[in-house]
Amino acid sequence: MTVFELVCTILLAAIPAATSLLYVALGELIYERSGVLNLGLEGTMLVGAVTAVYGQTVSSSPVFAVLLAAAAAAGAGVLHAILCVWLRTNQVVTGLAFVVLLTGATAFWGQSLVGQRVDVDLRISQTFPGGFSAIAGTPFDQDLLTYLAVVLTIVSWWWLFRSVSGAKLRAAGDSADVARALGINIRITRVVAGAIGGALAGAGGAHLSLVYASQWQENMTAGRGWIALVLVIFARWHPGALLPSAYVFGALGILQLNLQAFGVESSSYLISMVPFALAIAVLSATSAVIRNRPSSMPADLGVPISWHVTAAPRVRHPVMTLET
Amino acid sequence: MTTNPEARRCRMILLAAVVAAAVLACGGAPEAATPAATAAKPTAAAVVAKPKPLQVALLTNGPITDSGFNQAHADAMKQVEQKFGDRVAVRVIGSVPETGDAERIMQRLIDNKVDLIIAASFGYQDTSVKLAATNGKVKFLQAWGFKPAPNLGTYSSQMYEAWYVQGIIAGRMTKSNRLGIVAAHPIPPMKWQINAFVRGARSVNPNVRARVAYINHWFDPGLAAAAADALISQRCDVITGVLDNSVAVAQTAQKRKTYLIGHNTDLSKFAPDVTLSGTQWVWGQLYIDAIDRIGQNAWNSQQDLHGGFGKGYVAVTGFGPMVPASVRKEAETAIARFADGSLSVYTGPIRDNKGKTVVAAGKTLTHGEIMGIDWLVEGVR
Repeated sequence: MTVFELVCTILLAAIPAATSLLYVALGELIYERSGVLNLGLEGTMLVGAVTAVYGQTVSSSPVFAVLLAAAAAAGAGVLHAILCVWLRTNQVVTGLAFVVLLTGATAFWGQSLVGQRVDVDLRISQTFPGGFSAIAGTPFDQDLLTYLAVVLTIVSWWWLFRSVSGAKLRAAGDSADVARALGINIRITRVVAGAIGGALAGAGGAHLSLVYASQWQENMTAGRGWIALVLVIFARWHPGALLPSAYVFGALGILQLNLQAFGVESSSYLISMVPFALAIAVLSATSAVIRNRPSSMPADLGVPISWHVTAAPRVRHPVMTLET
Repeated sequence: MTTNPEARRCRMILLAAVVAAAVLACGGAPEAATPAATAAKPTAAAVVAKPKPLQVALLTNGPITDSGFNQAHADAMKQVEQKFGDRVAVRVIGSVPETGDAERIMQRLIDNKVDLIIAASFGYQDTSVKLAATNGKVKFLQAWGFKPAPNLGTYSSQMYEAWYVQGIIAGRMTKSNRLGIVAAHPIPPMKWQINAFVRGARSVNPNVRARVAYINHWFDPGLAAAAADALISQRCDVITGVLDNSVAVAQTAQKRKTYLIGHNTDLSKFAPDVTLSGTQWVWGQLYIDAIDRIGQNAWNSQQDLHGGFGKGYVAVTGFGPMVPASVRKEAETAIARFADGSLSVYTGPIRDNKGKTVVAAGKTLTHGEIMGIDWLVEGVR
């Protein structure tokens, strides 16, 4: 096998490895842009994963399974949003509680699904054998959910930065007070963002269980939700940066497996460490380079909105403190 | 900060509810296994004043529904219940991390008057040793352990015998002479299984080479599938998973029409078209042997709970229709020879994959030495 073939093999494998990360991170990015931090991604993903396998077993339709997964996970997202936005629970604690709660709950609900065979092949060379059979075996022969993830990321990019509703969503995350003054209903905005974030995390879970691992097992996300959380920060809350970041992480995650299979002698532990070392390096480098520019983190991320809609804006900015 | 006391109270209550629900879900699910399964069945024997049942608790470090290593242990406890009925009360606790949690859970079991703790993962050893030293009345069984104490016995099964048999099948069935192995970690418990598989294969086909891909996780179906995929892409035409859970490997084999050797439990339902055969743990027999001794007050920690085909602690899962009769015969002969002791996996001369002789001609490694193997046999990349 030539090096070119090896590169093709790695690309072919890296792209689906990144898909679930991309979905979950995109959902979290949108939700965080509206100002709410959801640490419960691992749990939301599991909801998607278990529901997808359930949907597939009852209907044998992958489309239905993915939609059901997205709907169920959107429910979890809305619940998170209601807790954090209306009831103003602590977002960190709520998110962590969601991880524990949903890990246990999905393990419980999914007991009968463990050991179910999942026969789903969504690769486009299989789904549309007429038109795409020529690309079988090339890096372009990916499953439909993978292509959809790329499309959704680009659409979100446009939506967040080029549309009015996207601007309103970002305003809710950057300054709830200003957004409110502009007449934006912050609670509705954040709950809708929570639903979108949940649905995307569910689709990521569905990809993992239906397409990637082809099974349901309790706690099968094995930390992918946490990596997605890192990815959002890594991409500095921007879908355009998220797309390549997710593929870099996906590729690094499976690189060591392919090198081992190719016969390269190396420490698999060392290569497994690379994505995280890289994350720290890039975070340090970017923060050093753009120290003087405003952070791209939504300014009101994690800050619960004030209970009284009529309350005066909170005095937080140093400039404003000086004026008073 | 705005302070609306009512809102704050409401928030606190809700948060408390979520946390409580989380704790319930977390504590409830894995432990839900079988405490009530032995609930009073009024049999004739039960009417007679009986000593209270032997309380047995089993800890595994992964989910007990994994169709893999952990489920094999949980299934074994069902065999124990069937065998002893209401003379035992069994608890199975899955997904216990090998950290401080293991000690906390074992301590709670001890407080609840458990008689026998079965620690079914090597990583519990230090915890078991520590608690056994301070709780003389509680008996411990430590999987793969090597630090016995008066109330702490060790057990393990000679899975390498089953792997050797699978190697014979794989060595006969491969066309590319390249076997692919997905393994969890590059540590001895994986290596003595990999070596046995490859030695079996090379005993019938000296041209066989094997490639190993370690995923560096005990449990990650996604990575296991990716690793199997990578090996198949490198022209491995028989693949297997030396993992706690090989279901993902089986599904990938099925998808890519590549022969599979199963592991842990019967995986042919996940890969019906490509499963050649597979290894199987039979912990039930081992636990029954141990509990039987305890019931007769004849237990001591030196009881030999190490065995393979001879004692019935390992098995193979049957043969796929593509395996020709001559190969089945060869495999069955090997099983019979393991059972009567005329065949052994680790008898020299054995060279490692760097060409060094690691077992001299005529020498046979002891079970303890095999458990500590840190080299890979020749033929493994």
